[in-house]
Parts: sequence; structure tokens; C-alpha cells
Amino acid sequence: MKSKIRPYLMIAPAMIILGVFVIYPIIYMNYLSFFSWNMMGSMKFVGFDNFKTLISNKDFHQVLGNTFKFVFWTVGLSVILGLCAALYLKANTKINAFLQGAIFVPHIVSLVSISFIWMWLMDSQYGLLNYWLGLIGIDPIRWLEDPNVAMTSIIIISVWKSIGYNTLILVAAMQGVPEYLYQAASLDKSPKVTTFFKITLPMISPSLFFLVLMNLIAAFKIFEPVYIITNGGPLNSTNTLVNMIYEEGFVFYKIGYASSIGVVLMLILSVCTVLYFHMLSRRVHYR
Amino acid sequence: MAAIKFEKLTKAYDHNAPVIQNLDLEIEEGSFTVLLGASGCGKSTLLRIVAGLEEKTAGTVYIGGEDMENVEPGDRHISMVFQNYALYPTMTVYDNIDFGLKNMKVPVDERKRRIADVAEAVGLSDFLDRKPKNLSGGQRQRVALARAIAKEPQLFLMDEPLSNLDAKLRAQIRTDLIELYRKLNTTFVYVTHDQIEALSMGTTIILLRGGEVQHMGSPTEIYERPANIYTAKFIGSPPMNVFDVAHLTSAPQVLGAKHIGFRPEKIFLDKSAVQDGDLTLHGDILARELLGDQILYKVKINPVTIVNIKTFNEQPLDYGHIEFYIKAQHLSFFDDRERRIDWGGINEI
Repeated sequence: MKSKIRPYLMIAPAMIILGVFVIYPIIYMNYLSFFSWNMMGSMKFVGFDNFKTLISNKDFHQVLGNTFKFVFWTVGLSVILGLCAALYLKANTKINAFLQGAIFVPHIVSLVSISFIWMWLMDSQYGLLNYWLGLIGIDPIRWLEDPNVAMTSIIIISVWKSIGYNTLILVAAMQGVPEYLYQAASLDKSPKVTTFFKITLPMISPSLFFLVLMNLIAAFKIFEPVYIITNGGPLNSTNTLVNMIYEEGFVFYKIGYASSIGVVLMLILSVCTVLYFHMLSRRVHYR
Repeated sequence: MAAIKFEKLTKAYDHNAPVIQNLDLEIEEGSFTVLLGASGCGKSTLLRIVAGLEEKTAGTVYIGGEDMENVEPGDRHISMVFQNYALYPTMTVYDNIDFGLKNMKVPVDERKRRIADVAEAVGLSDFLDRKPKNLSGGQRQRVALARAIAKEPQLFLMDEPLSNLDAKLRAQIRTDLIELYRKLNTTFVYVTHDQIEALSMGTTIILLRGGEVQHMGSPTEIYERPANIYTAKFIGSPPMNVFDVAHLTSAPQVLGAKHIGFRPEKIFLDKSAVQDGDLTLHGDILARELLGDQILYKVKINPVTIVNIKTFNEQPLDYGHIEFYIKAQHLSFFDDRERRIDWGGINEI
């Protein structure tokens, strides 16, 4: 009897922490999404009303669109640029070691600080970016005030932050590709592009697969730059799902409604993850 | 024409002393040349310079009479089999063989035909759609060979291709390689540290030491008439018995000889076969090893000299004092610089 309990006791601390901080909040969020509650008064069961309101809300449609746009461009650009940087930096030289470190710095700086720095850089009147553009004769861009540009600005900031991490992971993966494969390829008269697509890319596919998934999940949860820099504006053009959850929940105190958005986000992420694994995992080469 | 020619070839890594210095060497067209030597002797470096995978420091390399300066590895018309096979792990066996052919822009039909032929030849026809990780060591090694053969190169380079296989498989693939060489009739350059591989497969053996050629010759020559003591002691198992001629007063007197040597397997124990001029020695057996078809003895003939003896199909001798004999024509003599002396007294083999 004692021996049957022991294994459960061993994993109990981890399971309790997981239960309290992960599983319970998820269940509670799902539970809350069926209620109307302002955090003060009593909770009122409303069934699927929160979801119905959400689906008919035009702002939500825009937010959903914004989020997908953000995810697509951020993940795409930061992985592809990370790949390019990694290709350039994979050679083990002193300068490259420094550059790898330098490119990684944004990853360890808090997003809040980064947001403030970029806010200054992108200031339409006094910002450094417009100053530089002015030097080469380009009219100032209203980086954060123009509804057509603001989302691009947020994407630029996020890509800038995540490139370093992606590069580092991919450099490590590329350095793990044995040199003799490249030698064999050179004896097989393989052009550089072919070598990249036929040897390097398949060899680093496990890292790439992992990286895209992590980037995808992180991008769907984008919040800090949006909240700090634009607060979803102008004209809701940079509002994303998590920022909307924050607004509805902690500005308007519509906890049930905010929870229903959270449920939608969770569903999107689950579907993405399952689809991703289903479609791509067979194409990934594990040694 | 020489298949490969090195002129004043020098190779140094970074600022270290050169591993190969001013090497002049010709590898004959159509030969199965084995570069033999202990690790660090420069044999793999030499092969990799031929392949273009390693930059030379100075000198010239010719393949088929053509200077290889600035010629890419892929344009040298060579195939190489790596020690670890260097198969592309993400590709199937078929794609592994096809990759080089595709890059060489061989027409599709021709590619299909070559791959089918070569897969048939090495016995891989049923494995073409497998990935390397689902193959055994021997099968991988055959994929590497197939990949090399399919390119129909002028020159085969092999860098210790058998060293990752177990002894039985090694022996099998050794004979396969001899067959292959005879069938293809092209030049093979084979790097190994294993003298058995060198002697069994090579038509020419080049024994290297510290980037210098110690002996270049046919397996028979290198075995029977080693150019120096290093070669004498490198080839053979156990190696040739070599010691100071001063320790053997009964040996024939050869002008300038400082060392005398004879192979353990040339020693015989049957007194009735002794003829005039044969060398007679005696000593105590220190150790005896029974190896099935052969017996090894370690015999101390005087306080400073130990002789290895190898006999075949004979009754094992008891420990104790024995007498043994060597035919005069099986004796080798070396001068004070350890070089072979061609002594005229008795005809050599």
C-alpha cells in the first residue's frame, strides 16, 4: 500500500503547483465565461450570452484580424530573419560571438523597457527614426499615430525583440550539423542554395519546428507593446486579443466577457498547435 | 600518365610545424594505392587535399595531369567514401545516391538506370526507400560505396571506410572492394592504418611517417624487402625481428650492416631442413600463444634480445630451451641510418 502511494507523493509538489497555477485558472476562466460579473456584486449565470455578444461585436472582429495579422508577420519575419542572421553568424569567429551576444540582448530586456525605447524612437516629431529619414529626404512617418502604420510599427518592435533568441537557437542547431555532410555535398557538386534547402534546413528542422511553435504562441499573447505604446489605438488598429481581455476585464470590469475572450484565445491556440503538429511533425527529421 | 601527382606539396595547420613538407609523389593511373601509416602521419590530410576538402599550404596537386588549383571538389571527377560514410540522414538511400547525379545534371533516365544498377551491384535494391538511420552499419557502408560508384568518377578516394565495421564484415567488404576495383578498372586511393587492409587490397602501398614516404612499392616488395627499419617493423604481425647485428655473432657479415632483421613467420623449427649458411639461434621461451592455425612464441636469445616466432600447423612446443633456424635469404640488413642494405652475398627472393 505504502509503495503505491509513494510515486504520487513524489510528484505531488509539482502537480499541486501545476493545479493551482495552471489547471485551476483555466477551469475557472471557462467557468467565468458563462457569467456576468463585475468583480464586486454577485455573479449572474448568462449561458452563452458573452460569446454571442462577442461574435456580433465588430470591434472583436477587428481585434481578431489584428491579432492574426500580427502573428503572421511577426512569426514569419522573426523566424526568416533569424534564419538569415544564423546563416551569417554560424561561422565560429570572435566577431560573430560578439554579434550573437549583441543580437540576443533585446531578448533579455523587459518588453516594457523596450516599448518605452521604441516609443521614443518612433515619436513622429522628435523620434530618431524620423530624424534619420529626414536626413535622406523622406517625409516623417507617423509611426504610432497613423492607423495604417501603427500595427506595422508594433510588428517591427516585436520582430526586433525576438530575432536574437531565434538566431541563437538556429545558430546552435546549424553548428550541430556535422561538417562532413557539407564536405560530402561539396564533392556531390551541390550549389550553395541546394545545400541549404536539402541539407541544412532538414537537419535543423526540429529546432525550427520548436521555434515556430514557441513564436506562434508568444505572438498570440502579445500585450505589453500594445498596452504601453498605443493602448490598442489609433482607431482600434493595434488592439489585440490579450489587450482586449485586459480592457474588458480590468478597465470595464466585465470579468465574464473578458473570460469569454480568453476562452476564444485558448481555443485558437489549441487548434493552431494541434494543426501544426498534425501537418508538420511528419516532415521534421529527428535523428 | 599519373592519376595523381604531388609536387613540393606542403601542408601546415595554422602556425604549427608542417604535417607534410615538400612531398613529391606520383600515384599511378589504374592502381589501387593504399596510403598507410600510423595516426597523425598525414595520410588523411593528403587524401583530403586531393579531394579539395583541405587547403594545401604550398606546392601543386595534379589530377589526371590537370592542375587542381582553384578547382572545386565537385569539379574534380572524384568520389569519396568517408570513414563515417557521411550519408545525408534526411534523405532516403535513393536520394543519397541521386543527390550527386542530380547536381551533375545527369539526365533523369540515366540517373534511374545508374541507381538501379549500382543498388543491384551492392545489394541494396530492397532498401532504396529507407533512411540511413534504419540501416545497419554494413548497409550504410554499402550506400556510401553505391553513392561513390554511381558518379562514375575518374578517381575513388576512401578514408578508412572499414574502420567502423566489425571484423567479420570488414573481411567481407575487403573482398568486395577488390572485386569492385577489378570490375571498375579506375584508380583507387585508400587510406588506412590497418596493414592487413593495405596488403590484401593494394597494388601499391605508400607507407607514410610524419608526412614523408617511408616506402612505396607493391605489397610483396614492402613485405619482403622493406626499405628501412620503420617499414620492416610497421608491416607484419608480429613485426619483423630487428636488432643490433653485434648481438648475433653467428650472422653473415655484411658490409656496413648495423641491424639485422627477419620475419617471425620465416623462422622454422625443423632441424632436418637446415642447410648450409642458415642461421641457427637458440633461447628460452618466455611466452606461448596458441591462435588456432598459428602459434606465437616469445623467445629470449640473450639478455638484451627477444625474438618473436610464428609457426603454422605445428605441435606446440613446451616451455624451455629451443633451437630455431632462418634461411639466409630471409635475412634483411640495415645500415646505421636504418636503411636497407641490398647485400649481394646470397640471392634475395
